[in-house]
Amino acid sequence: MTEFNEQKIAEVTEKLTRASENSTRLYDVGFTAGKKSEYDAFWDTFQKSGSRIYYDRAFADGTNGGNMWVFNKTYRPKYTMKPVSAVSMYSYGTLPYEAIASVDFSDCTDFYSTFSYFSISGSEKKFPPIDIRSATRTQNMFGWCSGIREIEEIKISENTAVQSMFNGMTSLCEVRFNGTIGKNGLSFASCARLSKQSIKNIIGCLSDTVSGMKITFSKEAVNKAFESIEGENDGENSSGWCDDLVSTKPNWTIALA
Amino acid sequence: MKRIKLTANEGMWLTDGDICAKSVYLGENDEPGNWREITEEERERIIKEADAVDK
Repeated sequence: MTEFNEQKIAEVTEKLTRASENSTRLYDVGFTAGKKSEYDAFWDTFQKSGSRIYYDRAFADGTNGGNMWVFNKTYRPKYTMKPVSAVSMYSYGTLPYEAIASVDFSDCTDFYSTFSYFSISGSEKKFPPIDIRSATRTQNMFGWCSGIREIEEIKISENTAVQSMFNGMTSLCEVRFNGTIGKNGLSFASCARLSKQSIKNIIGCLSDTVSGMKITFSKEAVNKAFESIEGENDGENSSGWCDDLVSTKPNWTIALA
Repeated sequence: MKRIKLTANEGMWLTDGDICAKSVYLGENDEPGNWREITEEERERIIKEADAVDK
């Protein structure tokens, strides 16, 4: 019969415990390294090791309610994005302010449907400043976005195409353009909640030199924003609208829909 | 500068074949003759066609 010495038992127990701890530590290190290597492998391929510039449909989600790109989970781009083409890049998606704010769109020419049906997560529904000065195509860029209440700033130049950007964007209350609108006309006919400040900013940005251009606002938005007596919805007859705004851009046809 | 304002009759719309509106302040190179009054049905057809072009 083997006799167990208590000291020996304690030594063996301690060795086993240490071995087990080391093994757990090694597993954790290996697991983390594995995850990092998988992350790198995915995003290196997806973003062509940072050289990707065509992001068409890159983060578009399904039309059936699926949300594949979840911020800080599945949506964790490794490289800064500077797309030249962003057709439907975020269509149907939902991401927070910072996810979009980190993308540099200043070289992007094609914004066709880039944010159609897109929502900003969070209660403010505020969309970050965006530079679209290089845009040559913007149809439906914000088409049917019901989850954006405010666009902080849209930087444009006189050569920026701004056509049909806001189709169906019924929830938009605030938007601020920085630059001159002169390449083509545009419509805010769907934006029935557009604020007075936004309407004034847009009209102020209309080029003074082009001719034959048309801009459309929601009749409901203008009547509400410029009403002279609260609740009267008589804004389109007010001097704030007619004299202070409409008369300042005689080269533009201004329509109310 | 006083602008020419066109206003559609009740239940009708104005169109220049491109956009549809309830009232229009004409630009200096635009003319009343460029606009005509249409029904709601015709407006829906024009919008559908414009959406098809955009898509």
